[in-house]
Amino acid sequence: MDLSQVLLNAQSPNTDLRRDAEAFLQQCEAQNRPLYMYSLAVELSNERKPSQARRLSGIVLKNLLYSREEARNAQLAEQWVAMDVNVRTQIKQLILACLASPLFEARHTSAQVCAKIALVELPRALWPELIQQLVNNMTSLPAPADELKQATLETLGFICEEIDPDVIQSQSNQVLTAVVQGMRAEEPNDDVKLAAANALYNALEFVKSNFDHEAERTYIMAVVCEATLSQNINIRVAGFECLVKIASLYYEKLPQYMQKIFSITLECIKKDKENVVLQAIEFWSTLCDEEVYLLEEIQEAMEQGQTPPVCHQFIKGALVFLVPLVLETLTKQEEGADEDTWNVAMAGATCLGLIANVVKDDIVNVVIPFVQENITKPAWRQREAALMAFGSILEGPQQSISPLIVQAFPVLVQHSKDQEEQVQDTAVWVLGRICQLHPTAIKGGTHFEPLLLTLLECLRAPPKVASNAAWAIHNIAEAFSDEFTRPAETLAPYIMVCCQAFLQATERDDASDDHLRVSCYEAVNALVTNSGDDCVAIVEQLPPLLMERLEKTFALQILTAEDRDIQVELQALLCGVLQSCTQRLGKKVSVYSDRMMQLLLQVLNIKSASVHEEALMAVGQLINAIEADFEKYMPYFQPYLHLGLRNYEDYEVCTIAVGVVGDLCRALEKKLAPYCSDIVSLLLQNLQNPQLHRSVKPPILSCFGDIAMAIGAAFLPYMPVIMPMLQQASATTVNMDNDEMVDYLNELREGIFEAYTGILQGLRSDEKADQAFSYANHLVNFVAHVYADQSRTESLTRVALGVLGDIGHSFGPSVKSLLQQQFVRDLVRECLSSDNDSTRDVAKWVEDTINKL
Amino acid sequence: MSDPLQQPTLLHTQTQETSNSENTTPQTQTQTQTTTPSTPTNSSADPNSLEFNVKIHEDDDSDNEVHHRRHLYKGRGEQIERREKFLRLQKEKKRDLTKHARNLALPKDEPQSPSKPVEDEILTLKDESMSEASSKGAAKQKERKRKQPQEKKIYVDQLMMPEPLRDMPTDNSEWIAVPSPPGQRCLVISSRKSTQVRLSNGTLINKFYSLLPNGSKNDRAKINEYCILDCIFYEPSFTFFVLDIMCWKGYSLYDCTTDFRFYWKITKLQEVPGIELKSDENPYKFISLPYHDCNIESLGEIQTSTANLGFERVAVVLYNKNTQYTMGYTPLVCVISREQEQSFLEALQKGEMSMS
Repeated sequence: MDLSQVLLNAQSPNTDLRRDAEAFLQQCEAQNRPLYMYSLAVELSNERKPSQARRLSGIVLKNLLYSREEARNAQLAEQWVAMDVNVRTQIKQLILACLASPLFEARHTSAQVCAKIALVELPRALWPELIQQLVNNMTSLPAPADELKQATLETLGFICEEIDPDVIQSQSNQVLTAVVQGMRAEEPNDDVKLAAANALYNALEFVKSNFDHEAERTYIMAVVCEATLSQNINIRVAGFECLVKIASLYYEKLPQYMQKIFSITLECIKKDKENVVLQAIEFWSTLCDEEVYLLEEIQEAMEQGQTPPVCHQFIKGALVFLVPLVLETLTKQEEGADEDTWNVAMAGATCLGLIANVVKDDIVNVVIPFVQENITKPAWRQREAALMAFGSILEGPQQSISPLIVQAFPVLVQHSKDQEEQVQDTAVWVLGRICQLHPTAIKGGTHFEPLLLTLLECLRAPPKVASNAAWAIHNIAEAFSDEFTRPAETLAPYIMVCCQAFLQATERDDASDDHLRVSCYEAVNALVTNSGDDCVAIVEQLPPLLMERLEKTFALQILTAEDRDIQVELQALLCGVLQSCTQRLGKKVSVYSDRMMQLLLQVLNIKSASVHEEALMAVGQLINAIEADFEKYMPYFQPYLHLGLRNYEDYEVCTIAVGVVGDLCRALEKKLAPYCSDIVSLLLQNLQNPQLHRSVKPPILSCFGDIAMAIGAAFLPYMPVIMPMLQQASATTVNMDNDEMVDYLNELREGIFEAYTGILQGLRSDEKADQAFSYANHLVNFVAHVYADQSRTESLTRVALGVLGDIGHSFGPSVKSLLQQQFVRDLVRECLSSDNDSTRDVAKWVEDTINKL
Repeated sequence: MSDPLQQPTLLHTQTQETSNSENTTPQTQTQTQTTTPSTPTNSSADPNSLEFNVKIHEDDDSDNEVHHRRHLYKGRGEQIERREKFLRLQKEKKRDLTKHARNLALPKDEPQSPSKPVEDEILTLKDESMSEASSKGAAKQKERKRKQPQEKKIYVDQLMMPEPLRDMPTDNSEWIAVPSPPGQRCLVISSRKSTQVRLSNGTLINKFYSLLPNGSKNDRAKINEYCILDCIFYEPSFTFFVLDIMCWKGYSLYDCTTDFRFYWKITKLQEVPGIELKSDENPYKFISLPYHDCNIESLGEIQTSTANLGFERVAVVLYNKNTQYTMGYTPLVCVISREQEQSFLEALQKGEMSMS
């Protein structure tokens, strides 16, 4: 069969043709993979073949080299490397030659294939000459064809986009030379220029050393700035994209060029087309990110007496010029916008919010005149922009914004009834932001009741508006939680009416739109969780109602996948509210526990990770509430607990299941012993599972401590497995250049110490402490090891210190000398002078314990 | 031989980004839907089938991606999820129980409202985690941007690596023998008032204060008085066994011959009181590995000299006396494993006999 035809058939709308073609291709791959790949390369590079077939052969080839799925990608790479070197060389030659194809699809696809091969071969040093060959494509004489230059630049760009920087660091100069060659003013071809700009974007991370040399840096900046002024819109976009990336990678190098960039970006925001303006705004948003970060760093450095980094205050300097232009963009809203398509008005509003976070109170005077001028304009765009501007600067400024909020209240309330939905929506969002960020502005005053009534009314407005109203009340509940004891001024009198309104709104036909249902149930959660004692009677009425709703979900008619999603979402939400009620009611929930448990088990029977997570949390809360009484449910619950512990793929579920084991330990204590063997072995399996997300491992370690503390001497049979495992875990090291991994190591060590504490205390309570004596030395050494680590956190230090106390407490005078080492004294001293109460408490206790030895 | 600084396989960690599964699932769903419009039943294709290969992501530049700042537009700010609250609560309970078991008095000045212990717990925990985040540099808040430093690269492949011994050295008087403990080969750098430990791939694995010149904040050394050592870390005794020395107080020894470097190593380390002991200022010991002539008698001494240092040697490393410290693999350093030792000694004996 002709390969071209097969490839075309594989895309045919005719099912039979397509099946046959796919089966044939599959067979080819299975029978002789090298030959198959070679044939595809031949097809791709054959100028006489149909263009569609060439493109498809390239895609198939690429998919034989690369997969987004990590494991499969590794497997594909191994398969490629294992192939005969001659075949690989021939394929590579065909692909490289095809970069010069006159047909765009062919050379573009070849560039992709070439890059994928490079990603496999370069790290293994199998294709050392590639980069030089690509550079030659750009610089050879006589001048290479535009097609070849374009595809070569694309290839370099694709390689730079994904490769480990270490691999081509040494060749970064060559890459840069080739790329800048394509961006020069003398380059006449726009396609080449565009490809060069895109490649530069990907190469920017590699050219740090070039950025350190002023001459080279200035040259790069010049070609980038030139690109932003090109006649061709795509090149302008690519140029600004480079500027954005430079801002985030090389902020400290910008001052020299800022004047120029300032005028380019501001001109662009004023006049250019939307796609370009988006990038120019993004440039300023990125500078905001950098400066917010730097200002935090400076603050921190000052507190610790270190040399602070430099912030160039670009935003502050540009403020009065930049903000008016950004405000202007706010009036360019899309009609009935779907909010997932990024547009200039959204970018402007976001940028304004970021600017406010950098300059704080300075933003107010620049923005308020715009708000005042536009908020009552007849055109809805002006009104919405005014509200948006006001809402965007609520975070950042402190003193100067509060009086303005009070002043704005009546206007905001009025606009929440605006005839234009977009205006209404933004007004309610602003109210929600105020409730969240400046609750003191609404507390106690005469505004509170009208505000609340307005928001409740908005629950009947279109779903988007109603959803924001629910969120606003949610924020009020969270903000007022500490004032519930003073009912006159707070939510208490309204809690009943709020809950009713929310539960009603969740039944709306359009409650699935704009997260309305979710927002309403979450608001009920907030009300319940933060309710005062005077409201318990109201909370008590909720579980029967919620359980009835939950029961009804099982009877819902499910015809489509969407029905199913709604059902599952509803079940998860109801479990969430039941959980909040259980937490709030404590023992009082006992009267409902049989029915609740029955329903939760029914929910756990459903195959959906998100609903399992919520149901398990609800069970956990029930365990906390009814404590030892939960034992009667254990035989029924156990299989579902195991299921949760086995669910390493949805690691959030697994995390919660581990947490529930902790709850069971605390509630059932020794009564948990008969169930422990299975639990311990599942936890151990999880620890050894490389596919389980690492964040679950520290809680698992700590969970061993919970179990030991609960069952005491009954833990002894597990010691021979668990102690070596903890010892092994304590030798874990990570790359300390990576902050995230350092955080992880701290968490892991905290988990280990918590395990040791639980084990020592558990054994001691059953007078079996001597069974752990042989580990004392290792434990003290491990504490010393952690003590010497500069990056330990306070909470880690606290648990590590606690373990020293536990050792003294458990083993008495026999460990006296072990605990009288200098480092122990210093650790105790360090912790005694901590600002943290718990740390000081632990330190005092450890000091006492050691002194008593 | 156990490799104490190696990551235990038992706790194999996934370094993938923690992506929020709720956010990614709908995206992938729409993707499969758009790529297989005609046969929706195929969306759950077996990843190994070619069908999957032919069809997936033809177009890499999909415009469907949500803008990375989308969450900021009309954002509702960060709300603590119930999950997070749930987990915090459990952690707090654990702490209470631990306190109880330790008979710790509850803090006196904390007004405990008996009706709402739960909220109070959340509140205290919140405050605390905030103060912890600001008081310790390393545990930054999650949202803070992580910059991956570029500096790692300059530390890559800085160690002189031995080749396995293939042929007998022609002139054994040109070689020096060093016993090797089990453990992790690493580069130790004391500079800028801190001591760093890096693997040969540049990875920083530990950072602490030590008595090495310029190795701690109490040290008075000038900024250019740094040290670079080639060590083996032996975990059971918290010891860095110093194999070689490349820099001492800013004085470079890379160009010096082996016998001079080794002489310098022994002398200079002796000049630092307490460096060979574990103490609070020096959480790990630094001990020079002894060196021996490469002949039968000297090699016999190795047994006793390593016993005094408290380790069981896993190999003997032979250094050519005249080599400078070069980076990467070199035939001028060879390693003789424990298994090869006997045959080496025999060969040496024969060679010596034939020479005499």
